[in-house]
Amino acid sequence: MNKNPYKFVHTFDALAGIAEEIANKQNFNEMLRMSLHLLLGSLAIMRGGIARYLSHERELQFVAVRNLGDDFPLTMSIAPEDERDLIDAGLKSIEASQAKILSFFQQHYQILQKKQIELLIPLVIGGEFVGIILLGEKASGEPYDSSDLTVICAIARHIGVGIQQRNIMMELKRRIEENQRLYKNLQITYKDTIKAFAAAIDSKDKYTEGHSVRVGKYTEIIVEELGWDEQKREGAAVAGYLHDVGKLVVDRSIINAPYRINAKESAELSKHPSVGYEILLPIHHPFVDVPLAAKYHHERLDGKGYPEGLSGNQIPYIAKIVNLADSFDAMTTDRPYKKRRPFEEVIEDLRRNAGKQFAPEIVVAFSRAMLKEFSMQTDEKRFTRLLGKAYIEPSIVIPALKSLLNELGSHRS
Amino acid sequence: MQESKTPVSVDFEDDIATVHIENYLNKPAGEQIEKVCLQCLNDGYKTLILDFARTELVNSIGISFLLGVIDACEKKGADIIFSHVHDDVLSLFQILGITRKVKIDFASLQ
Repeated sequence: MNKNPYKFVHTFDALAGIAEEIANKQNFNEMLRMSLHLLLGSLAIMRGGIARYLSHERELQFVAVRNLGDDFPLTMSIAPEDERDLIDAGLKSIEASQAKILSFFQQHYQILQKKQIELLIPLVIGGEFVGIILLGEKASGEPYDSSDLTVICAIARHIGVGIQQRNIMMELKRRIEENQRLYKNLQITYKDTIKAFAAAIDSKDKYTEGHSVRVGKYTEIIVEELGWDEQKREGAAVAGYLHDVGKLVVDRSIINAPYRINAKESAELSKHPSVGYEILLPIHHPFVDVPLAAKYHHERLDGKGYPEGLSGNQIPYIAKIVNLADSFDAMTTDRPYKKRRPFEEVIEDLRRNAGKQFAPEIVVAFSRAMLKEFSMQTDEKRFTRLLGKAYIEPSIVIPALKSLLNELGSHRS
Repeated sequence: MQESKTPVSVDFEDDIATVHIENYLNKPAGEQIEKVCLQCLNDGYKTLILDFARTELVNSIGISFLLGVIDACEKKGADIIFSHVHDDVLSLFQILGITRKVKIDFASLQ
């Protein structure tokens, strides 16, 4: 009886240690390794192993083994009937002599006997088979008594919970990754659809093929220079791509008129922002302001735009950005009734209309992006690709941009 | 000749390796003891003396590592002796039945 308090304290210490391992350990394999040490050390058991059950493979995988030798198999297949029998048995110790009815035990009987495995503890937690513990002989050589089995099952329960927790975390991680993959695919589908829309819009307008795509790209350049995050930048680009979607319902003869259109034709064309808004509004865009860019991209800061004659801060910010991108593209591409303007004149137009048509800080951001590229402060060649190298004369354009920035430079985003 | 590896140090004489164990035989000490002892066995030492003179406390993990050393000695046919074991530690070894697997140097007991 004098010996019992020592043993009690010792096994209680092992139980406490197991609980701490399960709760605190980040590394799963290390957690099982230390748990096995605690289990073996609690009762001075010479050898043993802990396996987790991989249900898809129907296989036990030994994660922690002690003193079982290099010839011990680290995986064991489990037949469906074995799994059912083990679940029915629940978490309790099974002597080797009784375990012989299990087919996996029979299959590995020789090695298990050679290693002197005496006990088998199926880890059944909440009706789920999650693993197994195999235990060899005690150092004392004595058989396991009821108090030993109580301690072993108490420790085994903790280990089983630890394995089950890990299984849940891994499944959660898998589902999160699956969802991320699906979301990414959805994003790709959305972007491809947008580009297809832009191509459809532009295909109606013979002389400005590629206009929507260019406006999308200019919009993206502007918001990048304004420091918008990646998600918002992508959304803004979409707003640029789709700003003229309303033109799909405008008569082609008006869009492609090789002359300046009359008042009636102009009124017809003027409907396209509102029409575009109605088309885009029911769609759940990641960037919610896409429809607003379509509706208000012809508004002007001074209130002389359309369709509603908004001014200043009444105009949604994305619409101001697309307005600049749209106007810039209009000035730098050939139209049915006129050729594109010399680039330095376009810069002058931006300077002159900053504060009237265009928001000054947006002009500054756009001009800054151009200056960075033309003065080779960046390897980007976006403007060069969109406008054509021959169109840009750096010796003229760079001073003009610097002058514009000096004048408007106080307008920062 | 003495090699010092905290929390374990080793003395060698003929084919005897004496492993001195520090105050608390837990995971860090246990890992080190097992590593050192297995190395000694692989180097051909036929007798391992584990000196517990400075050891006052052994936890379950420490016991498990000791069992690993005992098992390795059995496989190699080497002798393993525990010396200078404190009373409380010896009681624990006796309760767990470890004393049936090793020789105890009772002359050195504290």
